[in-house]
Amino acid sequence: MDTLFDRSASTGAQPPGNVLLRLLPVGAAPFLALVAILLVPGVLGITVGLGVLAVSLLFLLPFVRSTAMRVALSAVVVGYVAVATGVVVLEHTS
Amino acid sequence: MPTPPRAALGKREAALGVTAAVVVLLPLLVAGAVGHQVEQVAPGGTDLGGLDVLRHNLRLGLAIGVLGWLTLGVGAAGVAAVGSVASGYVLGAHVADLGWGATLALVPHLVPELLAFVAFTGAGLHGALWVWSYVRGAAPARALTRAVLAATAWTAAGTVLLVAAAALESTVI
Repeated sequence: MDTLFDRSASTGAQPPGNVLLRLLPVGAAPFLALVAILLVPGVLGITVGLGVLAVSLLFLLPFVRSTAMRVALSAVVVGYVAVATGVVVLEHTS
Repeated sequence: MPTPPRAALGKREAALGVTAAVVVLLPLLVAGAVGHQVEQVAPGGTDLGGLDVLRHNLRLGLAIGVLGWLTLGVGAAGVAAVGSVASGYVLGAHVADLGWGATLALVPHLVPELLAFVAFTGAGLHGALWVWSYVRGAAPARALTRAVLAATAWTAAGTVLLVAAAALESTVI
């Protein structure tokens, strides 16, 4: 029962422990990103925070079977990376 | 336990979105009316750059999201409501003292900013739903993933809106 979109997985009353553990990085990512933005000074904090959010989504990809959802998640990852890169470029050019 | 039908899940997500909007917008309107009556402001904008604004707003938005799943939604709603009260109060005073023209100049960045905080509140409430479902032991795995995906989508939407708001704030205002 590796993927949550298996029909068998959808009928379980309690999510299997390994699934919860594998989703934990996604749930913890906003907290880690917040810590990064709070602790790392300047624009680097934003970059690290957005990077953490982007990487966390990669943990979510294996759970998604729908191609459209995979594309959407990948687009979000690319978006986070683009914003993080743009922020760094802006900081160094302004 | 049978899987909840797709329509029911959609309704639940819509309900959380509406709740997030009410939590952010209602205190804004009420505090705006109070600020309009009692507070005074001087003309002048912020001297913060766009990146400073983005950094500040991201911290606030992520704090709302994180508090959502740590406090089963109460913290997210509380922080979002308090932030809206402060913003509404200042906006009300702004309208009273500087007029609608000067206040409407804030709209281009204010709208995406407010929507971003609605989105982060939505993320917090979905995170709370995720934790609450697990605590109750009643979450089918698929519903759990939907909650995580929804929280992720709200967070991403909030981040994009904050980037737009910061860009507008640094160039328009």
